[in-house]
Amino acid sequence: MKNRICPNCGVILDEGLEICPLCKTSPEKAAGKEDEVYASDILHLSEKKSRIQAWELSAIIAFSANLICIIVDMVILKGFSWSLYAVTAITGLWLFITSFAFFLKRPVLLGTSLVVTTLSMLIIFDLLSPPVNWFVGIGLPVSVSFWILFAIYLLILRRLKLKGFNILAYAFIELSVFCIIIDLFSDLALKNSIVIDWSAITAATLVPTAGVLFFMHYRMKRGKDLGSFFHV
Amino acid sequence: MKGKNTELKNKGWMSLDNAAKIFPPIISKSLSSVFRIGSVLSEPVKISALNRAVEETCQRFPYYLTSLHRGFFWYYLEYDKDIKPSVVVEDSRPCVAFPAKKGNYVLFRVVVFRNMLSVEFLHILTDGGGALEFFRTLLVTYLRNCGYDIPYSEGIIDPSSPVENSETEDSYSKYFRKEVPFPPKLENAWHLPFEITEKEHLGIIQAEVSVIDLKNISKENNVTITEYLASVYLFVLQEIWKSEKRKDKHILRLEIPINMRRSYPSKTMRNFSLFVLPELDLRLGFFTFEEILKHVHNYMQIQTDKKLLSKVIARNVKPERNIFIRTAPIFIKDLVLSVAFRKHGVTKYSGVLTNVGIASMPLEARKHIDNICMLPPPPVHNLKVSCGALSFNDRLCISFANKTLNTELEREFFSFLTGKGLKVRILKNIWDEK
Repeated sequence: MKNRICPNCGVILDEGLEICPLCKTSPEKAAGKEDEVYASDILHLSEKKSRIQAWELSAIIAFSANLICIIVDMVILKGFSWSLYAVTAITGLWLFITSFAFFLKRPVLLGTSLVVTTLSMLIIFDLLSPPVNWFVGIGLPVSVSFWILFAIYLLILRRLKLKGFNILAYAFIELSVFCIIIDLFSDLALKNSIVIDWSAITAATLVPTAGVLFFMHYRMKRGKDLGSFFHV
Repeated sequence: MKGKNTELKNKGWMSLDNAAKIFPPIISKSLSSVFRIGSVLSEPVKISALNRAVEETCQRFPYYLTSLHRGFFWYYLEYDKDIKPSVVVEDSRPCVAFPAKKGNYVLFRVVVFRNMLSVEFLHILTDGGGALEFFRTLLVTYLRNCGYDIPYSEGIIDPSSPVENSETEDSYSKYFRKEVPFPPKLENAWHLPFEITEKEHLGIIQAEVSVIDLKNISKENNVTITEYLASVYLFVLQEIWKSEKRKDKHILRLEIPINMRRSYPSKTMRNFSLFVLPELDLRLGFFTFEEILKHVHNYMQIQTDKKLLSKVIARNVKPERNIFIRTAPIFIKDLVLSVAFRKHGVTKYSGVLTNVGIASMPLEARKHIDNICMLPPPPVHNLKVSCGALSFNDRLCISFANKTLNTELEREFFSFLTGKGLKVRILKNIWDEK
């Protein structure tokens, strides 16, 4: 077999090299065979198109599920009762899918729509279950805190150069903070006083564990000292 | 890692040399600080042979398999034997910035296109001297992998030879003497008035001149080739200055990097070059070309004196030995160094001329290589144009990198040489095709 030349890069490709290691194209394809269309090319959808198709499918499923819930509820209990919870949950879930389908690469819009959807669902659940009003006291601060902590976590993940045990360590720390927030707001709402008890125990367990994980990651990842980082 | 160089292997990292310390805070997309040594071969590059050659060469130059990291006090280079240099196809323009500060990126790349084989180095890693040694080894290893019987002669490093600890030393620190005073401060220099219209633009013009002809004409004038080229550069700058309306600055100064390995015994493969800065003060009147030759020759003779060079080493190294500077957190150093670069760096000279020297290759290799050229780092904004030169096989390749669309400097420079009877062959520019 004769050595071939990549039409894109002009380098000689050795025998057995099907694609050029530099431009990742097949010399035959680059030389003009790209006009030929294969079945695999037709079926291969772009990432965005696949997402939209999945979203359309989810819309049909959500609509059908909602319809079934309402009909069953009306037939059995002659009115709307449990189906309202089911419809709210299914619609909320579908809105989450919608957010990911359309705003996956726009983090601000994605975050905003997820927060709005969560809060709307919680408000509806609160309104559906009188007489206890738990949304303002617990639902709102806990869910907002959750999304803020989640956003911080994603930001940290994005900025990390080397991922390993440190991912878990950050998750443990955020979990500790989240537990304290739940403890704090539930105390305020239910007892009208603040006593950080169970969350303090959780934090006392999780934070040292995170410390060990950080140590393992940064100190032992190369089996070397930290002289490089702190050399003067 | 082979041989005696166990220091880097055991330690796993090395601090930046004195010259490299300025780069991390200032490098950006537009100021890449990346230079290139490239060759045009007689036949298209065989990619498998090249990949093997890159691997073998990197084994012998392990200190280049490092990535830049940000410490608490200083940046440092971390060695990683598993890190792979990129072998990439030619981009739309040369010397594109490395994502160095993102970590885990090798600070050099091998660039291929048709018959062209080049290496691009970020200045943090080494200077033209170190890069040329690496490139010569890579080229001979590649040609051997293609089946040609070529010896590692002409001082080319054999990849199977042991690596020495002295190759990673910071020679600036080694030859620093704290009792030596600093050189005097310089006045700001005039800059080319050309306008930068396209931020991403980098025009490349390369030409070849016979080394013998250039040597003869330089000898007639009792100067070296570098001194002759520097004089032509200053003469052309003076001509442009004359035609310019705005004449607020009167100093025309050229920055000429010199390889310190020729003045001090050093085997380092990291940065070890300093600058000499010949100048014309136009307040004294205009200079004839003969006067410029004399001026530049005398400047170069004095400024390359070892004792005077030690003053420059003292000025550069002394601050980094200061305990307050050493213990200042890195974000403060970043700030101070970038301000210092803007204030004391490029404002002091009007142009750059880098002559890397001769790329000696074994006789058996020469028939497979059409030419070897050096491309200087893209110039900083107010400098606009930079120039690099390298000799191979009795031909000197002169390359201009220009951030503007105005090619008056290059045109005048080469016209001057042809006016002196030298044959100038402008090389085909691959980047215009792309």
